[in-house]
Amino acid sequence: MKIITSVFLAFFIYSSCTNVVDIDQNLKKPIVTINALFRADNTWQISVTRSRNILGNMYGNYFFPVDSAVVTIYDNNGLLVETLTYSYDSSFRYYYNGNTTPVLGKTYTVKVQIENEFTIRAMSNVPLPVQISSIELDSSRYKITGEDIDMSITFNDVAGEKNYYCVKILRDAFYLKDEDTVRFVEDVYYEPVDPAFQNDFTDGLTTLIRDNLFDGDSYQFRLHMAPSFNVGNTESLRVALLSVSEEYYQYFTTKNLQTNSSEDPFSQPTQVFSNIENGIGIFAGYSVSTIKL
Amino acid sequence: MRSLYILVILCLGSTTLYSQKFTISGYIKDARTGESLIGASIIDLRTLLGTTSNTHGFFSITLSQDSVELVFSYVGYKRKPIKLFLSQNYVFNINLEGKLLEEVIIDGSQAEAIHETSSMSVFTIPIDQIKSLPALLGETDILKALQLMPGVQSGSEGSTGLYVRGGGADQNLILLDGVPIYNASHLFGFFSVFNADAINHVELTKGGFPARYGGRISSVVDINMKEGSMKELKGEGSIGLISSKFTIEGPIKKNKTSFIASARRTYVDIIAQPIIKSQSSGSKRGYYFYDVNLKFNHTIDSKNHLYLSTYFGDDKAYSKGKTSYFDINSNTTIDTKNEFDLMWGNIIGAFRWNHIFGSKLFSNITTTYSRYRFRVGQKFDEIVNTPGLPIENTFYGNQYTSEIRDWTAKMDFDYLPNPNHFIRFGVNNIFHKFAPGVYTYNSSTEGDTTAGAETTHAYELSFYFEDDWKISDLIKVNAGVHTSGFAVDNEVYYSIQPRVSSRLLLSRDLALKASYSAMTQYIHLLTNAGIGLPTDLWVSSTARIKPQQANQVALGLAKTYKEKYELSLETYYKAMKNLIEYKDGASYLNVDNDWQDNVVTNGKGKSYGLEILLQKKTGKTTGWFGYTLSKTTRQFDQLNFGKEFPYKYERRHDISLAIMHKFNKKIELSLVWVFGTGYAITIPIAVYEGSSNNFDTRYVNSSRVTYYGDRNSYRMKSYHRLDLSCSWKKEKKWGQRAWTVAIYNVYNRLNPYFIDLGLDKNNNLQFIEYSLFPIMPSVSYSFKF
Repeated sequence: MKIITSVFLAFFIYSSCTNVVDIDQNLKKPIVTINALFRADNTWQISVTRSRNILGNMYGNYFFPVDSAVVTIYDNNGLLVETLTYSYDSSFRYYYNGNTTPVLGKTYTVKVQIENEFTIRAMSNVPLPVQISSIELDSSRYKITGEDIDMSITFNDVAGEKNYYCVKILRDAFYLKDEDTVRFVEDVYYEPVDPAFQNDFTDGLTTLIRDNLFDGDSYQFRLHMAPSFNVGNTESLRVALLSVSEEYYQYFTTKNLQTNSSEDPFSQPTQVFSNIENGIGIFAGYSVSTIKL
Repeated sequence: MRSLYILVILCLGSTTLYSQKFTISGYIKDARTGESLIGASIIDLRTLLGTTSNTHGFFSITLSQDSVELVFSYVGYKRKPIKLFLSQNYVFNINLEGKLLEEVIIDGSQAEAIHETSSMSVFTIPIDQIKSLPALLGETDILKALQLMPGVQSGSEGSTGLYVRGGGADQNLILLDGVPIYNASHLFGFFSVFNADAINHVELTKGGFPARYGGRISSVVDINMKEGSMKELKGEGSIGLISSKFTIEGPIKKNKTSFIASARRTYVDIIAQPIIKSQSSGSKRGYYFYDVNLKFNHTIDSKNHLYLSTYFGDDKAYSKGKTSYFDINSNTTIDTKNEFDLMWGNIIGAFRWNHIFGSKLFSNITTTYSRYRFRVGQKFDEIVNTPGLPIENTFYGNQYTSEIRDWTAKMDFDYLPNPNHFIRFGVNNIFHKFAPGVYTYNSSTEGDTTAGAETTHAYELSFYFEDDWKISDLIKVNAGVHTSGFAVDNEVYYSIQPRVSSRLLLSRDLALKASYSAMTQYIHLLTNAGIGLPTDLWVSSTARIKPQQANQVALGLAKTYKEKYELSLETYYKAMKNLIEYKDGASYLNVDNDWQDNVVTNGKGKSYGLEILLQKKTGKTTGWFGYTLSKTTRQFDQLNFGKEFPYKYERRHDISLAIMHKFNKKIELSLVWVFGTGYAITIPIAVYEGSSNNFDTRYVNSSRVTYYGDRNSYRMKSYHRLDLSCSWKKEKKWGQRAWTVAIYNVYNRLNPYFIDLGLDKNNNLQFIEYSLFPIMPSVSYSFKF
């Protein structure tokens, strides 16, 4: 159907003139960006960087870290949990790291203080994990190129509250680095069967679900993995059900939408959700329950 | 409602309360063609009581038994006085003669003056003035002329869209002979579907809506086709750069039956076909649009008239190709055919019966049909023929269509019991069929597939009653109510919409005016670009999607100066609710989803502003100056994080100047200058580090997010443009011919069309502003006989 767009654009390009313009943008100063997705089994780790003007290099993904910030974590009673320290990891990326781990069910606030700037704040919680109650696997449909897998994942939603979920299929993988084998967990591509999850609710590796249509009920999520997704040995597959905060859900649905609509010249631009006061980015908690197939 | 009944009884009863009164009624027509004159003025100079002709040229005035001195007048026509002693009812058909240019200078006679009428926020532009305006590529356009009025925005450059007092493109009821037109644009919105040669009268109402109108919340564009000359065979036409048109009209039976036929077509595709064929290995490609207007008018007797009118027109882009390949090794012939077809268009039809009961009650019974259809599709067919083997045929095709159809039956009555009342009432039934966004796919290898929204049927019923009531010499009020109901699926919506507009004479030629109107609209337009693309979807209110509603108040002053100049100054406030819009990132391409899943609902809009219009309709020099100061916003809980944002097509300041000057009978010069604050758009202003959703990486890796300013928070640079046009007319033995040279965008202002990001040679992003039309001269030849 993009052919209609093409016809219009062909007409437009034929008759239009272009001019590079110097837009006097309101944003002169870079915005402080916070990135932190936290869960109960990992210690605190927060990235603090600065945004770049849109007119920078198209392919540059480097954002200058802020090294002079004071980053503190508070619990839901307003008590200081800890002050994070600035250090880099094995990939030489800089973070503010802590020694404690978030506690399930608790709400946390991060405060980032940078000299001569407003204090940056954000708040989110670590939802309680929701266990997968059953998994049904159907790999009976055999095709020439391999094996399709249809899967149903069932879990019970907690009634009376807004809950958000995220489904992932994981498998063990490795790569070689300096003759050492580095093992890691890899996300596997799949398609949700229900078309309601197309576009902004899935990026091919993750599907985001909210409980507004099944509050308090059992919910069955169905997915399909095609051979082209290179599933390989199903024995190493694991299903992860992430119980995510509302901030997590909002951030990734809008981020998917921004990515998906970037090629459609007639769609409205999408602003990605941010819960950072006096800054941008995301500070969101989640928890995980996994089942090995 | 009780007070309404009392009002009706009082008004109807008033005719019997007075004795010795007689009625003069009939039609007011052009003496040369027999064409009805709409809104012509009739006044008794002795009593200063008067009325105006309705949209069919009918008038009725009831006066006391006495000597009366009636004067009939209309813009551009000689006044016609008639003196008589009124001792019985009279039926007159008044024929007014058009003025010669010299007389125009002396005589400034006109229709009912602006300060006299109870209506406000209504204006008409004489067709001759519209035709005199400079036109893009020489193609005269009625809707573009309306865009030059205060309170009306055009949307994108060159577009025929109408955005009236902060309203959307779907909120205009565009009527051609009383039939709604759903997509009034050709060529992606650059030209409207209205051929000015076939049009008799245009009126735009943007506030203070009379009760007889309903179904849209922002404006009514009421366009009447010519009826066809009853006197003689006439024709006119023009040959322009992109299209030509021809109109012929005349009597089938003199003074009894007439017809008018008008057709227009672009021909770039025909002229360019040999070049296209040579450049594309014999395949045919092209684009054209055409439209045809037809109307028959039959007078049965002085009390009965029949009209049959139709319009149909399409835009079509096409591509057809064929290839044939012979493989000498396998002795195989492979023939392939591929076709692409993009088409959209309207077809409307109306049958109308005018009947006069007595001399005071005029009825108009109408049945209409309207259909807008958009279709895009492609086909591929391959035949592999190897001697000795079965013929292999592979094909596939897909098609996307959207459609809306209306069947309407309505009855309208005009009742004129005495010169102080002009009562209108009626009933309107519409049966709607909506088929938005249906995608079908068929192929030789897979089964047929259909996706998209299901067809929706809806029924709309409305009643109205209004009275244009001259309470005293100082006060005149048009009050009424429009009620409507809409049934769709298992949901029924009702609406009662009170309307009132009034004037209070402050002096002989100055009036204070005020109006209030409540409007309801049961249909919606889903549009991404807002530039009249054929992909815009008309959809119905449903159980999930409520009808749009608007309330508007206006206050203003109207002054007539020396019967030549009209000045109106109006302020208004309009609040809208239940607006819908595509979700962020959604577009018509999401055919897999029901359209209801692609929209955000319960939007609110508000618009307020000040409008000034100074207009001169008669004399050697005519034209107008308009200024608008306005602010328009939208608010959706699901957009812009719930914050109110500026409406995309808001122009804070908007100026238009149109001047037409006739030097003599032969030469006419016209000028249009427009200025407007730049439109509000959303632009990306930064990129920032994004979080990754990968399970095993707690690190932020190779992810960047684009940061936009608030929705529509950036203003493009101001828009301004000067157009000039000059016509040289010459009388010939066979009629008249004219050469017109026009220049669009005289000083070559590169006005912004949209802004996008592009890359420089170092792969750095930069903002690129696209402008559509640079200076564009055009020439056209027109003729009349």
